[in-house]
Amino acid sequence: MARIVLDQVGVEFPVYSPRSRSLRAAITGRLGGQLTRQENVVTVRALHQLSLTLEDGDRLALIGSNGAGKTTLLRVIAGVYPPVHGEARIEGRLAAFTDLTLGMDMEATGWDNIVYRSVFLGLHFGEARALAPSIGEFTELGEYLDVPVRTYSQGMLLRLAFAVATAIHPDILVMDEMIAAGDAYFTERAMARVNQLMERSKILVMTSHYNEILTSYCNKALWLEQGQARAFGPVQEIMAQYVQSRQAAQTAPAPQ
Amino acid sequence: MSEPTPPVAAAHPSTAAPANALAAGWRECADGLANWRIAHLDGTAVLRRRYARSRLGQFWLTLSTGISIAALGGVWTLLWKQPAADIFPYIAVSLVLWNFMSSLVTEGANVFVGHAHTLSNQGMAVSTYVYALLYRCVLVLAHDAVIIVVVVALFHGWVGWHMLLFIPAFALTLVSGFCVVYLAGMLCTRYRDMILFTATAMQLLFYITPVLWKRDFLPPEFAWITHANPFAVYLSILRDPLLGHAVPIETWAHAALLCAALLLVTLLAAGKVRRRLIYWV
Repeated sequence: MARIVLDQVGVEFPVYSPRSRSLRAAITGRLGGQLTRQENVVTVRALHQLSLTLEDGDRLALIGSNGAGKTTLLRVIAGVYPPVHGEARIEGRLAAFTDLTLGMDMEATGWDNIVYRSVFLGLHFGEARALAPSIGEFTELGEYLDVPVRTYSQGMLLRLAFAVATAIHPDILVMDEMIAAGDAYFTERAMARVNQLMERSKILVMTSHYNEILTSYCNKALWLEQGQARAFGPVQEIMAQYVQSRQAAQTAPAPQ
Repeated sequence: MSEPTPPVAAAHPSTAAPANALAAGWRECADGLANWRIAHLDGTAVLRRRYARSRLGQFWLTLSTGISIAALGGVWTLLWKQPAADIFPYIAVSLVLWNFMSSLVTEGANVFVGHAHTLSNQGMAVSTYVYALLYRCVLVLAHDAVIIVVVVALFHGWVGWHMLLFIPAFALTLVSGFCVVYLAGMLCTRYRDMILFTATAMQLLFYITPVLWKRDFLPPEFAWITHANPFAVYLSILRDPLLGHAVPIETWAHAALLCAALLLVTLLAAGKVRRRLIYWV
């Protein structure tokens, strides 16, 4: 069983000025007797008192404007950011697709990169090599798989990355912006593969700028505003509220 | 679609919170070691690239080290009348080992900053990249070891079973090297001016470490320099066995103590900083 439990999670980013990035300044500041050291560090509160429990079958859409904390929350779930306050417990094998090319070597061939990327996602070398032919076939890159990836176009690279990502079977799937790769035909096949991937995963957490994608893949939604949960519930309901509030904000007269 | 269900857990760090900083640091380092496959791929990436571009690959760099050793040895022999049979092996072994130690420190400064993008997209033990760097430096050393073998065989011949003491010395160096990379990486991630400082400091240390000169060249009143300098201590336990010289037991003890202290500090620091480091990169 997979589970995500966030308990009063808070995340703050220290924003260091060049001065506070300097050890010399830190030491001379100390010597001078607590000289405005704190003023150099501004913290940005990215998430605040966020509690959330997700279990098998939950497909969560994160919605909110830019800077609301969606990506930060994805990264907390992915284990990148240990919460500064509160606690995050993640149970289950997790795959986070915030950058699909992570672990690839641009100088290496497509075939090698299938193995490298698979290993980066947690496979053993043997498993990765066994899986490589079917992944390679899915990319439809043919002979291009024998040349270094640095010669690929953006679309080709995305195809390769996408093919590997969707060959993995995680319990918890974390996706930042749905992957739409290559030409129309590939996209159709890609969608089928994404659907399989998401069906197999026990918990899905995703963001997207396209509301239709969220409503079709997710059953729950969390509306984030300035790092705090504004609403949580069935995706249709929350999405309706969100859209309504956006429209209201656009039509409302500017406050006096 | 009936592909096997592969595990997707290796790159994910342990989530349970250990009791204290020491345990947390230990866990961090163990999690990194469990990612040895990623460390292997990252550690070999630079060498793979060098071999992809030329048949000699990494050996081009070995060749250039070899040329400087030949030049330095020549100068020492001709200008300062040092016996060639003595000074050539000394410089060859010293310089190769120094390059190994110094690249650990200077590249260690960048070990986390250089992987900022990966670390902020994948939840993983940061020590994975400490192992990767250590591994890469060992692979480079393995290439340069050819110089040692050739020069020592040419000028010195068989040095005796004494040289097996290189193995424990190297083990101590690896553990200390891991610690130094980790500590330098943490410090330089938080304080970015330290990256430049580290490079400068290593330049200075090169001059006060007996790499191109011997301990007995020093006037007695300055002999303490070689005892106070940890690089000189490690260089001594690594180099002297390879040249067939005995290493005093005090030097071994010194190195072992340094190693234990470094390990303790590193584990504590890793445990303390583990949850904050990612916010610094």
